[in-house]
Amino acid sequence: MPVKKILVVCGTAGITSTIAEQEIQAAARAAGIQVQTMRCTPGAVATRAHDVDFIVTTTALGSHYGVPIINGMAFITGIGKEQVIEEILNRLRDND
Amino acid sequence: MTQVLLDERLVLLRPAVRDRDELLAAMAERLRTCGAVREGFFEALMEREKQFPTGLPTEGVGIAIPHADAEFVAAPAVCVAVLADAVPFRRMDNPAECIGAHVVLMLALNNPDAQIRTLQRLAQSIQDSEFWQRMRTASSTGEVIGSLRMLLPSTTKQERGE
Repeated sequence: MPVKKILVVCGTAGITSTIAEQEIQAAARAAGIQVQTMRCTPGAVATRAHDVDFIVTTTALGSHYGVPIINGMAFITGIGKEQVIEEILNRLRDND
Repeated sequence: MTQVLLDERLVLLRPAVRDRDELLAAMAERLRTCGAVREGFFEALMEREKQFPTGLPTEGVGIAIPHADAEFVAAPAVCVAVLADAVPFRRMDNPAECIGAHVVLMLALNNPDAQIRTLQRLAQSIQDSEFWQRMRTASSTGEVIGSLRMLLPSTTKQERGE
């Protein structure tokens, strides 16, 4: 099974995407799932979205990239974090 | 590896400011005085706030985390303002909406990978509404920084390269 790729997006400095990326990696590790994550800014999403399975973003993003987009704000505020992690793990397990 | 400065000079406790911009200017000036940021940090931060706002949809205490590109950071630091009255910030994940920030954490960070421990602690602090609720009644900047240091150690072993 190929390792899935997630693009983690935030505003500019990579601060909130780094927090989200770490949480995703930890959750995947705990679930025994391999995943490849990479970070970028909204301006770079258009050129990188085709290469990933889905996007997790902490910033507002359009929805025209052809891959699912998950709101990653929960990784910063903690609100609804378990649900978001569950959604991400389900997408990582999904082989269709 | 880098050490993140967390200093009493970087705490504004119930500052007398008229609005958001005046608050952000005062905070950026503190960071500049401490040598944490370079010329242009404030302007870059304001521009970023316009494009990618930093108000967080937290429960209880409202929090915003304004920041700018790494190029304007000379030495990593965090400036904290605890406000008497909430100041409006647009939402990071939905700029059409505003939140009322009671706490503003101005981040001068330049290497998220090296400062990941600090970032994780920061996220923990953001998720701890009761902590900030207590800080809102703090009587001195020393009290704020003391509590914050426990929650957010300014230097971690990892960041000291140990």
